[in-house]
This record gives sequence, C-alpha cells and structure tokens, in this order.
Amino acid sequence: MSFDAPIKAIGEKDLVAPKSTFKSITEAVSRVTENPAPKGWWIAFLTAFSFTGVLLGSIGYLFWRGVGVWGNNSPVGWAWDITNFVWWVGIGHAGTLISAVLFLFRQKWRTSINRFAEAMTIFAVICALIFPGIHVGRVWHAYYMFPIPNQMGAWPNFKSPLLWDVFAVGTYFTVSSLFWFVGLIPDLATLRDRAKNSLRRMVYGFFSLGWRGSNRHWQNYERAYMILAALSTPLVLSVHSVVSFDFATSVEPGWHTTIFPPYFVAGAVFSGFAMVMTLLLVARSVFKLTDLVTITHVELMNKIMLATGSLVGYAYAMEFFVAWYSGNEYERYVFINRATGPYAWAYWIMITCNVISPQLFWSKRLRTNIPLSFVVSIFINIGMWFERFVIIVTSLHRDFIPSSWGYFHPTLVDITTYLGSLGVFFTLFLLFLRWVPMIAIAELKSILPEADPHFGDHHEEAHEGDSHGEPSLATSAEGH
Amino acid sequence: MTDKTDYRTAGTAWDNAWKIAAGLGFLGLAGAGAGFAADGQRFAFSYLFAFVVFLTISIGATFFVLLQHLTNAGWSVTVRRTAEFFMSALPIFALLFLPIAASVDHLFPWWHDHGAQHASATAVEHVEEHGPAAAEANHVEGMHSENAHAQHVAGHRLSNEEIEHQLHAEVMASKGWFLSKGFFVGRAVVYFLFWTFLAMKLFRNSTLQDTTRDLKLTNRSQSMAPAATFGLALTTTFAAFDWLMSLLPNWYSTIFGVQIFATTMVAILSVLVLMGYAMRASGLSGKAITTEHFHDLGKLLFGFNVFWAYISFSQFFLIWYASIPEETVFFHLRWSNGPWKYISVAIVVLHLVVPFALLLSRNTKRHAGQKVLALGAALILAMHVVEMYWLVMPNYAAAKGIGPDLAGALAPHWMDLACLFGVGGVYLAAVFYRMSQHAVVPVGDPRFARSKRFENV
Repeated sequence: MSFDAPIKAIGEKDLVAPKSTFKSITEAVSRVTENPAPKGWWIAFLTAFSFTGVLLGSIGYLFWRGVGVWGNNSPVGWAWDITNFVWWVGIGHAGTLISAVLFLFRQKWRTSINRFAEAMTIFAVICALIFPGIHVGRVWHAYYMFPIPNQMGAWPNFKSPLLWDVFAVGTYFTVSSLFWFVGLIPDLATLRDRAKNSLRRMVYGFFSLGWRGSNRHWQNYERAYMILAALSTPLVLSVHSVVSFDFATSVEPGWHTTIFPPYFVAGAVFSGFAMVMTLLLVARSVFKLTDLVTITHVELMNKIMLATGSLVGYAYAMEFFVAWYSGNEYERYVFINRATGPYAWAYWIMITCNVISPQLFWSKRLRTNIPLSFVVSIFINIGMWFERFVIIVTSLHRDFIPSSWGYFHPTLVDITTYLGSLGVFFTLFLLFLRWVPMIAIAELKSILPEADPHFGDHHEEAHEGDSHGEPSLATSAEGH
Repeated sequence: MTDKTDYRTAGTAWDNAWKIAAGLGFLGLAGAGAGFAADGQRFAFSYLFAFVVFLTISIGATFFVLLQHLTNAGWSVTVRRTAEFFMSALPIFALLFLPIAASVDHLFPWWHDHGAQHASATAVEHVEEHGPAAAEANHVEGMHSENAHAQHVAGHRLSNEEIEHQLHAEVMASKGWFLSKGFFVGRAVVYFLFWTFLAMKLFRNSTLQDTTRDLKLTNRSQSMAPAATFGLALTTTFAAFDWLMSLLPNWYSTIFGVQIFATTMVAILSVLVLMGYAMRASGLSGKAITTEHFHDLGKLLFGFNVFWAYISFSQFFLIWYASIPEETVFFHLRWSNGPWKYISVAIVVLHLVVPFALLLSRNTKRHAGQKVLALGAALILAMHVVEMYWLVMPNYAAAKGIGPDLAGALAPHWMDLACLFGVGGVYLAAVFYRMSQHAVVPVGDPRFARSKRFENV
C-alpha cells in the first residue's frame, strides 16, 4: 500500500474499485468503442437525430417567417432564445471546472468523470451558440456580431456586453476544445494500438498525432495539460461573468445587481454538474463502468451540487434582501412580483428545484442513493432553466409603467427549437460515447496504486505505518 | 538555527511574542483612549478601521480551517495550526467590539432615528409652507416622493437638497426595523456567539488531538464543517452589511458580502505565508513546513487575490456602467478627483498588479527561499490594511461634510495608528499566547505524516 492510501477511519475512500488494474481499465473503456453498439444506443441515437431534424426545421421556418413565430413580444423582447443560450452555456461550465479547477486542486477523483464532462462542455457550447445567431431576426446580418472590416465602416459596439459575449464564448469554445483534444491524445493512441482493422488504425492514428508514449511525449503532454488548465481556470469565471454582464450592466431592476457575475458562475457550475450526473448515471450502468465511476464519485458530485446549489440560494436571498434594503420601489416590486405575480409558478419551481432539492444531500444515505441522485439531477436541470427564464422574463414582463406590461406565451416553434437543441446535444453526445474513450484511460491509471513509484515497496509501509488509520508519531518516525 | 523537533515555542523568542504584542496593544489602547476623550468622532472611525483589519484576518482564518475540513485536505495539515491560532482569538473581538458599541452614534448616520427625524421635519416644513390642506392632498395622492415633489414645484420650488432630504428620509424610514438599535445590537450578539462557539470548538478538536490522537476528533471537525461554513458565510455577510455597508445607509450592493469574504481569505493567506516564513526561518516548524506548502499557499494566495480583484471589479464595473446615483455614491466618495483617488489607484496597482507579477511564477513560490513570495504576501497584507482604511475612512469625511474632491477628505490621524496598535496588539497577544501553549503544527492529526511528505506533482 502506498503512502497516500486512504485512511478509512476518517472517511477516506478508494477512488476506483480496489480490484481495478491497468488492464481492466483499458478493457472497460475501450470495449465500448469496439463492440457493436447496443440496440438501446441506436434507439437513443435515432431519436436524438430526429430532433436535430426538428431543430433544422424550426430554424428554417424561423428564417422564412421571422422571429414573430416565437412568443417574444414587447415588453418581453428576450425569452426562450436567451434562456436557452444561458442555460446551455452554463451546462458547459462543469466540464471546465472538473478538468481545470479540480485538476489544479489535485482532486484525483476527477479522472473518472473529466473526459465525459469536457465532451459535454463542447456540445453544450455548440447548442448555446445556435441561439444568439438565430435570435437577431435578420439572420443574414448575424456577421455584424463580429468585428469584420467592411466597406460600410460599420463596427460592432465595443462597449456592449453582447459583443464581449461573442469573444468570451468563442474563446471558451476554442480553449475547451483544445483542452479536450490534448487530453485525448494518449487515449486515442491506445485505441489505435488496439485497432483490429486498418481504417480504424488510420483514423485513430491520424488523431493521436504520432503518440508513442515516450518519456519526452509525456513530459510535453503534462506541461501542455498544465498550461491549458491554467488558461481554462479564469475562463470558468470569465465566460459566465460576461454572460451575466448582458443583464447586469443595464438599469433594469431584476437584472442590474452587483452579485450577478459570481452568482451566474456558481449557477453554471451547479447546472453543469447536474447534467454530468444525469448522463453519467445512465452511461455507467449501460456500459458497465461501475468499477470506474463508483458511488464515491456520485457522492462527491452530489456534495458539489449541494455547495453550488446553496451558493445559488445565497445569491437569491441576497438579491431579495438587498432589493428590499435598497428602498427602491422598482427593485422591491420586481422581486415581490417574481414571488407572487403572474410568474410565481416559475419562481417557485426554480426555488424548489435549485435550492430545496439539493438540500436532501445533507444526508449521506440520500446522496449515495443512485435513483434519487438521478431524480434530483433532473430537477436541477429543470430548475436552472427556470432560473434563467425567471431572470429574463419576469424582469421584462412588467416594465416601469403599467402600459408596458405583458405576458409571454411560448409558441410551438419556441418549444420545437428548444427540444431540437436537446436533439443536437444528444446526437453529438451519443456519437462521442461510441467513438471516443469516454473515460480518460491514461489519467485514471495514474491514480491506481500500481502507478505509485513505491508500489510493492513493503519496507516503507512498515516504517511509516500510517495506512492502518494508526497515525505514526511523526516526530519520531522522521528521526530528527 | 537548529530545527525544533517538538514544535513548541518554549525556549525560543516566540515564547515572549505575546508579551510584546500585549505591551504594544496596551500602549495603543492607552493612546486610543486619550483620543476617545479628545475627539470621539475621529476615534470611532479610526477604531472601526483597526477593528475590521484584524477581524477579517481572524474570520479568514476560520474560513481557511473550515475549508480544509470541508475538503478533507491532507496537504495543508502542517499549516492549518497557524490558521487555527489566528482563528482561536476570534472571541476576543466581542470585547474589542465594545468601543464600537459605545460610538455607534458617530459611525452610523441611521443610529439617531435619522429617517423619522427627516420625515417629520419635512412634514412640519410642508405644513408651515402650504397649510394643512396641501399636506392632506399630498397624503391622499399616495405620498410618493415624486408626487410631493411635483406639488412643490407647482407651488413653492424646493431646493434639490430638500428633495434629496425627503427621498432619503422615506428610504430610511422604510428599512427602519432592520437598521434599528435593538436589532443591530442583537445581530452583533448573534455573530459573536456563533463565532466564539465555532472558534473554540474547532480549536479544541485540533489541539486535543495532539495528545489523544483520537481520529474521532477529525471526523467531528469534518462533519461540522459544512453547516459551520454556511453559518460563517451568513454571519460574515450580515456583519459586513451592518458594520461597513450601513456606514452609508442609502448605499447597497448585493456582492458586498462576497467582497468581504474575499478580503478575509486574501488576508489570512498572506498571514499564513508570512508566519510560515518566520517559523521556518527560526527553525520553529522544523521540517514540517516545506517548499511544497509555500508553493500551495502561494497558489492559493495568488488565486484568491485574483478572486478578490474579480469581485471588487465586478462591483465597481456594474455600478459604474449602470451609473445609478444611489449606487455610485460609494465610488463617488472614493474615485472623485480628490485625495482618495490616489488611494484607489494604489490599491489597484499594489494589491493586484504588482502582487500578480510577483506571485505568478512557479519559481517565486518554490525557489530562492520564498523571499519573493514573502514580499508579495507582505505587500498584499499591507494593502489589506489600506483597503480597510479605504472602506471606512471616506465615510468620516462625509460625516464631517468634507467633499471627496477636497484635500481634507483624506486626513490621516495619529489615532488611526494608535487604534491599529491597540486592536492588533490585543488580538495578536491572544494569538501568540495560544501559540505558546500548543505545538505549532498538529502533531496528532492522522494526515500529519502525509502533509509533511506530500509533493506538488
């Protein structure tokens, strides 16, 4: 047993099932891409793919008829379009948090879930990017969002947070993709080496960039990985902060409040973890990966959801309290209207799903309960969608004067566009499951006892003697 | 200097540190006491400044300890005890709060029923000017300030100042029950009771383990950590609202609690780096605090300093961009063309830009005996003091009616220093006294051996 062996008496646990070995991990992960797809995969894939078609149809109709086919009105100029955008961007954040922040914090348990979450990040950002593009109405002018030199001398407004959003999300997508791909290289090489036909060998060989696993390769790889992690970490904060600026730089009560940047980040991580949980619980049981993604991972993720859900609850409470404390009647009204007005149903769905449901995870029994974890993760996905809906629609629907009051009703096209974006997400995700190792093989191996340089070195254990939960008298053991 | 193997201060200069701190604290308090008698208003602000400088360090220490238990951290065990010493003196702030309680009258404009006074004053004026009928009419129309204002403009022109006065009065009256004497004092009592309980419990769990080696103590601290973090976050937020935000009772910012949380973390991390540095230099910590710990503390200090900048910037930027008068008043006091602007710029440069450069590189955290790291930590800690001064003192000028664009808005006073020594001396005396009573690293912690041996890989 190595020096870092878990001390069970103070609640430390094994990170993978103790019987796992290098070989069993490679087998378990690679076989998913090598064996024929199970029937369930095909059903899921074809369903998701059909919904991708629904999205294309909805967007085509939108382009043909204009944004009037949505329920957006005056005063509710932003509705499901921007709600979906913020929801999808937020979901992406867990991937970056797991791959970058947890990496820098040496949270080794991340190795079982990071690949999965990173892939989810990229697909979620793709879904998110659809919405700002299509909500502009005159879609043939969408390129105005980019600072492209043109003969009209027309430039975007650099003082507008909407433009910063283009840069922020664009950067985020680029860096996340790079990070994901760099992490994939050693594993793609593993698939290449296991390939039984030449097409597979060629394709995986191409994408593994000539990886041979030499010492020099590993050194460069680890350095690149560290640098990308360091670059991604500020992105976790910056992207959703900029998204929050879309709202908070305005003078709109309900939108303009200083806590928005960190509150949006916390909410993003929260919703992202919920989505990882939803997908992971299905994948680990379908593809029999329960040795690698253990109940410990589920428990730790639930703890993070409890923490981030509570941070979000803190932000809701601060907003409400300070709206009252401000003495500003419009501020006060917006929040009272949220909780008791025509959208009270949305507000209380949000509170129930986001603040109350994760509180169940205070109980160890409940947070290690798989079916319950699944249900709560779905609740949080719903709740976080409603959070954005509440922020956007309830703040807009009653403007400063009652003549500018209205109510938003989604149309069929609103609904099909949203469902269609889910279709795109799941299509990409299911393809990922089949063609790319869904767990980071090389990284996961690094946390096995076998990876310890002192593996099998029994002398040390006898000397240090702390692995039995019996702390050594360190002062004497060091022999000063 | 030879390394200590028992991790005790006995026989080293550290053993007497608390006496020196107590001496300085006594001198400082004597000076502050004289100041209190001479100029109660100045004393109030100087003392509040000194109080929050050290209170934030102590709360930061508690957050740090809780975070280690929350994450079941192994790396930090050998430096956790230092944070525990700084946490253990948290209860003493209940005593140190008494001078603030005695001078609330000077500090908080809302303390003397401000709103009610203004409101009644305006009403009386109104009745005098227009007779009871006009006042009645206003009342019927709903008594919105705008309505009242319109009436005034139609009849008798009110000066801008009078309008502002009245708006202010209405706002203050509407939150009167929160900013009321009884509730304010009651809240303070709750904060101190909770903090005292937390600090004593966590400190006892840790020090008891030095001798008993009981693993249950670790479990106990770990299992209380989540709820305790909740409580500490809420009490810190509302303490920040009560003692700092309400200095300017019309101003509000939802992020203010997060901002103060960020300052507490930055403060304690710089203290931990400096204490680790001093303890290692004197051989007190033996081989327990290694390059790896400095590297990690340095990373956290860098990270939290950037976090602090992010939060501070968010607050500034959103208020600046929306430019709503109720909110800009806070920055108006600090960024107008006047003396405070230099302090504001200095905070940006010396709290963020320079430390960012100093702490970014891995080399400065690991090599050359961590001299650059210590320099960065010292700079950040010094700027922490400046930032607290910047948070409190512009309100003194405002209370004196000195505009932020006048040179007199920033007038350092000898009492600032006296209070800093007074509060700091008492607090540090308590910290160093605790330090002289216990091992300076938690030798009984089950993860102690692991912490001594861990490497940044």
